[in-house]
Amino acid sequence: MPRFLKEKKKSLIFGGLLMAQLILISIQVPLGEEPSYLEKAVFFVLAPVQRAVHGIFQMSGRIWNRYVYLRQVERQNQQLRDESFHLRQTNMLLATEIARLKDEHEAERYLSTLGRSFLLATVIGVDAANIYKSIIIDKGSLNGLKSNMAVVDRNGCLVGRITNPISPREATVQLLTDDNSSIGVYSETNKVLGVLAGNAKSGICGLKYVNATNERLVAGEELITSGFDKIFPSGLKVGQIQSIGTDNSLFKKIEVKPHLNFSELHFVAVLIEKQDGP
Amino acid sequence: MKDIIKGGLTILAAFLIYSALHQLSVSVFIGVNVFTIVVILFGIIEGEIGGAIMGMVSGLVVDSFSLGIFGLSGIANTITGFLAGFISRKMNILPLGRMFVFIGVMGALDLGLWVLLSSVFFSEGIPWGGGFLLVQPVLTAVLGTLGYSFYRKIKARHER
Repeated sequence: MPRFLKEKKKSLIFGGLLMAQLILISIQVPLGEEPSYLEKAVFFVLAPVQRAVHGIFQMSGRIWNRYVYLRQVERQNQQLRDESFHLRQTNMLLATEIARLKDEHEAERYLSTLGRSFLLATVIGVDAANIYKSIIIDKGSLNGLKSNMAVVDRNGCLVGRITNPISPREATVQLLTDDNSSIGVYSETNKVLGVLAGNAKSGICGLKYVNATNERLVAGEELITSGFDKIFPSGLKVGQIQSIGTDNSLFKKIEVKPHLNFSELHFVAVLIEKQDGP
Repeated sequence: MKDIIKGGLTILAAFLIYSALHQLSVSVFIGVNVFTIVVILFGIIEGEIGGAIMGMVSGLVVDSFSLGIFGLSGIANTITGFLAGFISRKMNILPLGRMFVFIGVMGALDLGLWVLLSSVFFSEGIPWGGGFLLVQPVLTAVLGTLGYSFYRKIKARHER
């Protein structure tokens, strides 16, 4: 290669490249809008690449949208699960409420047959130290409750009596199983009188002051309040005689199983003294 | 042969980025001219002939995907690539600030040439993109400087 060409090699190549492109441009003049073969060739080679890039972006977009959609679905699913949980809880609460109202209604219907005016109350607590001693109900002095009012269960069986403390909206009920409870009773069949005393240790009451010589009393007999104690009205069922025994004392040793059932003691009825009319 | 493969892969990579930018945003597509960046960097790294050839090929690629005159971008890119290689051999552009200015000037030159060729000689319409086209030299400078710094780091690691 001549020295001149060697020195100007770069410039010549540069000029050649520019010239080639100018020729390319000039070729297009007679072609009009028709692209040249080189343009077509470059286009045909690289267009699939562009198409592939577009496809990748489209696919990525779809995957992303799908991901976002799934995230939304997951969130919605969680919301629905939460909603379902709350609805189940509400449903359960409503079912319990309906059952309670049904029970109350039935009890009210039954108790109304006793011919006494009463006030239904819900049991809101039991004695923290001994469940056989007392319960707390949701009615108080504002509802007209006073000390010594008799309290019966849904079946009209004696539960105990209202005792202090009585707050405006709550009251304490001394159960008939409390150690300090004494109720005048008589046996339903043979009319044997006695005093029912509570026993908070076992929840089994004792029938006191029945002479050891008395042979009329039998096990299984129903005990009814006598009303002689001037606290409890007469005629309320109290319990059944479980066993009759003797010891060296003057009186029989009688065990009485009270009708009081804690599993059914959700609400009680307080017997209100009948108001005399004007 | 090695240089041809290198150039081919560079063009392919640039074309992939060019296609991807189009998918991302039209504004970015107008503001960032990947081929200009590649041509300038190729000129700096490989010299004026490498830059000129890369400029021609990339310009033709751009033109083949446009309904404009085939070869118009090629001429602008060829001149830019050649000058980038030529000037970078005559002065020290390695400091980051100089590199930024140099690539920015080359980017402006490329854009100016293309606008000049399009509007004056060939009466082609210029897609200004709401003025976003004028940001092109700045973005070219930023991305080109980053690209060259990245290239130098890779090269230094490779040489170690």
